[in-house]
Amino acid sequence: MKGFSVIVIAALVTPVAALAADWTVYSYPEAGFSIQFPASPTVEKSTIRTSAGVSLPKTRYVVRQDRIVYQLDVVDYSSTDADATNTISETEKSFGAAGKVTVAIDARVNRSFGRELSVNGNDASRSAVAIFFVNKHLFTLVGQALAPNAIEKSGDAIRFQESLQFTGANGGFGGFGGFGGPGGGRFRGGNPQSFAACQGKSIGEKVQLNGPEGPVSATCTLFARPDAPPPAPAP
Amino acid sequence: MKHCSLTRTMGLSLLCFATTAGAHHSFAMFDRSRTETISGTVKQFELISPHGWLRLMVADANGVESEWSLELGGAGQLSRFGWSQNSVHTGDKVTVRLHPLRDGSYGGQLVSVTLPNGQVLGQRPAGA
Repeated sequence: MKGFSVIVIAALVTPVAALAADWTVYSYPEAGFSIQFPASPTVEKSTIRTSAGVSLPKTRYVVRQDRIVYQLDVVDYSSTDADATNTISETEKSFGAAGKVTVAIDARVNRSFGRELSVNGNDASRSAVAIFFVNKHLFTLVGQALAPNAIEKSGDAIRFQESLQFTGANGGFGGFGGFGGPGGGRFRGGNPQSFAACQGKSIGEKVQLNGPEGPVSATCTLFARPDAPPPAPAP
Repeated sequence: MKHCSLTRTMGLSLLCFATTAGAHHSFAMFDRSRTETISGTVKQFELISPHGWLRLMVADANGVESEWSLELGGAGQLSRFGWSQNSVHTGDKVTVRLHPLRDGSYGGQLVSVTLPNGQVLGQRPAGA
């Protein structure tokens, strides 16, 4: 992004993977999100310096393949008073320098709102971009299909863009009694209890969660989903 | 009273949890005011959560193939509408109705698919 300089510190983190096929869901509960990649992503730790001179930690999750790059940057703004609107807006503007923004639209992931862009790059690439600011963290996702014939890989770029989910305190279902997190709460995607209950289990396997009304039967999908709503409230 | 309020909140949240299955995001990139039809050969079908995907090889007028990525609802939602892991097979010749991507990329949100045996599967209950 323009105006930012990058100092690479670098580190590798082993993600928790779930689900098979080409594309695999990688869950990062500690960072509050999950996302799909077609291969195991490299995780690079670095810092960025904002135009205001503030140094902020950045984590990049990236897969570079022939003719396409899948990349998610998560920048920690928790030490600043940055707000979602301005941070997202500033990030969106930075993509204008990289090419022609053909689509720019409000978007939602779970209960968090941000922006999604399509960018035809000056280098003849095509990018599907998603920008969200959740729990003081800026998530900038870019699926970039590279020239020549970038459109041939554009479907995969979109698939990557659509795979981001916020979890746990970043806006997860919130579990039983914890509905709504700093990211605005969300309906699905799994809270820590759900993830833990289905750890090492197969999709469709039955588990039990602890709810405010007692044990709740659940089925593992990507996470544990209650099989039935809780009892109706007393009149 | 507080407990009752919490229970109501939980009930509402579970209701939303159930009814928004397959809608973890806003589908903003898809132009839902337009519906297009394409035909092609299935390259891959994934009935997974949060969203299933159908990859289709679509030939243009000159016979040049391109790969399309079509987003579906979640596995749980689709199973209620008649989908299963065996609904679609690699190599099947299918016709798909979709809401296209706004930027013209090769993809969209699947509305329905017509299988080789004529069966139509959609993302809504039959007749809805």
